[in-house]
Amino acid sequence: MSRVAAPEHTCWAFDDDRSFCRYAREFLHAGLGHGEQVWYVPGPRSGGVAEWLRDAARGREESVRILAPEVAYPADGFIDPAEQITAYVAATEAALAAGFTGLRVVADATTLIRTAAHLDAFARYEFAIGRYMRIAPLRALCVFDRTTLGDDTVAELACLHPSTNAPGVPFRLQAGATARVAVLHGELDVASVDLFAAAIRRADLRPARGTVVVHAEGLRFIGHHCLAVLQRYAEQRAVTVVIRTRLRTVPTMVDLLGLSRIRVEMIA
Amino acid sequence: MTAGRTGSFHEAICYDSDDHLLAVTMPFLLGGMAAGEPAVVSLSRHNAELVRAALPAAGGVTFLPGGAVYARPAAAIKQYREMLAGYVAEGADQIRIVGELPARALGATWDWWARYEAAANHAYEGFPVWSMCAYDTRVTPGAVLADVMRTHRRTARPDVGFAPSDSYVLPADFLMEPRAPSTDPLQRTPPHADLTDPSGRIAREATRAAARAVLTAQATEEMIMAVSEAVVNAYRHGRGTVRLRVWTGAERVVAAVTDDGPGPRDPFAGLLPPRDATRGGLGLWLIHLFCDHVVLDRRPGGFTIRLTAGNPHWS
Repeated sequence: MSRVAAPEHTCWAFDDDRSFCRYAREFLHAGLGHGEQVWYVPGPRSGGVAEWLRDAARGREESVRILAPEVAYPADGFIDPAEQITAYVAATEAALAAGFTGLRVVADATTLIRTAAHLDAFARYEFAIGRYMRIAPLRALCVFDRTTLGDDTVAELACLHPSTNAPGVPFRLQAGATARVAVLHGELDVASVDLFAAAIRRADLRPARGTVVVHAEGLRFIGHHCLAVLQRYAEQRAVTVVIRTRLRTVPTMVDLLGLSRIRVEMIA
Repeated sequence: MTAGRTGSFHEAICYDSDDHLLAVTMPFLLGGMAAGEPAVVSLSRHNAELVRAALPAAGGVTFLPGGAVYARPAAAIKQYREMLAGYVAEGADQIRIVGELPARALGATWDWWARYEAAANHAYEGFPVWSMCAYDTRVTPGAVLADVMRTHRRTARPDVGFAPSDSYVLPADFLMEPRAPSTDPLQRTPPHADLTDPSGRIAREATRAAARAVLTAQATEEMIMAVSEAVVNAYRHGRGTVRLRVWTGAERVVAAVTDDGPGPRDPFAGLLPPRDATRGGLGLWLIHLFCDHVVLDRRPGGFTIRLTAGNPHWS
């Protein structure tokens, strides 16, 4: 069995390609061990796994696809989240139809993050595909070169993944079961305001009966600055944000600060 | 002495007997009742019963439990403001209040109640409220009475009316004075944590670890919030090195956040919500609402905010 733990949608930020190679091999090896089809989309500094992967798949070559980034993604680098999700849904279903137990992808998307607009589009895609990955046998290691992108950009992407190796990412915002729901973990203080504002905006939650839901059962801390982010988000979208949390300070602050577009549901 | 007075007044009653207290409060409350003005009494249980028994049976005076109203200064101001706004909305032209801090507020936590008394001259401006703050001179320490005289323009006396205070200080000046808050005995023990320039996350972890065995889950969360806000404020508004120390006692957790700056520039910061939250001040107000005692210690070499969660009445 794999030594790679449960995470199925991981952001891997690297500046040392050797550590990336070690982790990617474990991740891909586990996929092959589970009978999954594996895809590998290397970047300029993350190609060190290709030869090993070909060797590992010898005799079962159909299990492995090594794709150039321009084949896997649009040539101009602009990801359309819906189209990209459709493509991965089709690829996952094709893998299942071919007898594999699922699809596992290692993709270095560094070269897709060329401008702020590229980053925004890709981040929206990262959040949105998380919803499909909750229920489908699609697992992904999303790889970003920190020496190219920098810590701030990596954090904007990493916080939209359920797990990451990137240090100093204070929270995770991931897709819930429906387009109305996000799941929030970690800690949100004043240092997280911009990151959280970008993340919740990119989550692009779709209201039902005027409300969106943030499952924050795993939230360890949220300060008033980030509650104000939620309030502004709710005002801009003319929705009510329902936040489900164990933190007793949340309803108190919502009341004290008059955050009228936030409704708190306490979890025992 | 009590009729036809409209506007915002904040005065003291320094009494030394039941008769003295009644001799001042009865005309005040009866005058309000006669004028159809709402009257609120928040006294100790003994004094509340004394006043209640002396009032006409018809009532018209609202009695609030003093301990609940005066748990935390910022909360008391918030509650009174909401109450006053309600009376005004109902058409009141003038509202009368007799209040008295619980005896324990005159001890280890007096410094923040002294700040409350100074701020009360400002916090209720705009409301037609005439408030009288009662202090029993038989049990009130001399230093507290001195602060009472410095934070109230006048003192009500039986028969002779009001005596102006010679030592009254404008609220903003009083609040910006370097004070000499008493040292919590816990501060003389080795701290549970002593951190230099901690991140918010590290500060919260240190507080969580210190509070876990002492405080309830809710009090722990509130202390974590308060310490986190204090550390944020030190980085955003303070200067130089930020130091966090956390002590754990049998009934309380104490945290001190120090920087090299002068402390908040707004004299009323913490006691009142900021008028413009975008310029800061919200965190310090929440700290005052979440903690059981907050000391603002301004000294020439820097500023320390000391937070207590749990029982702060160590003396």
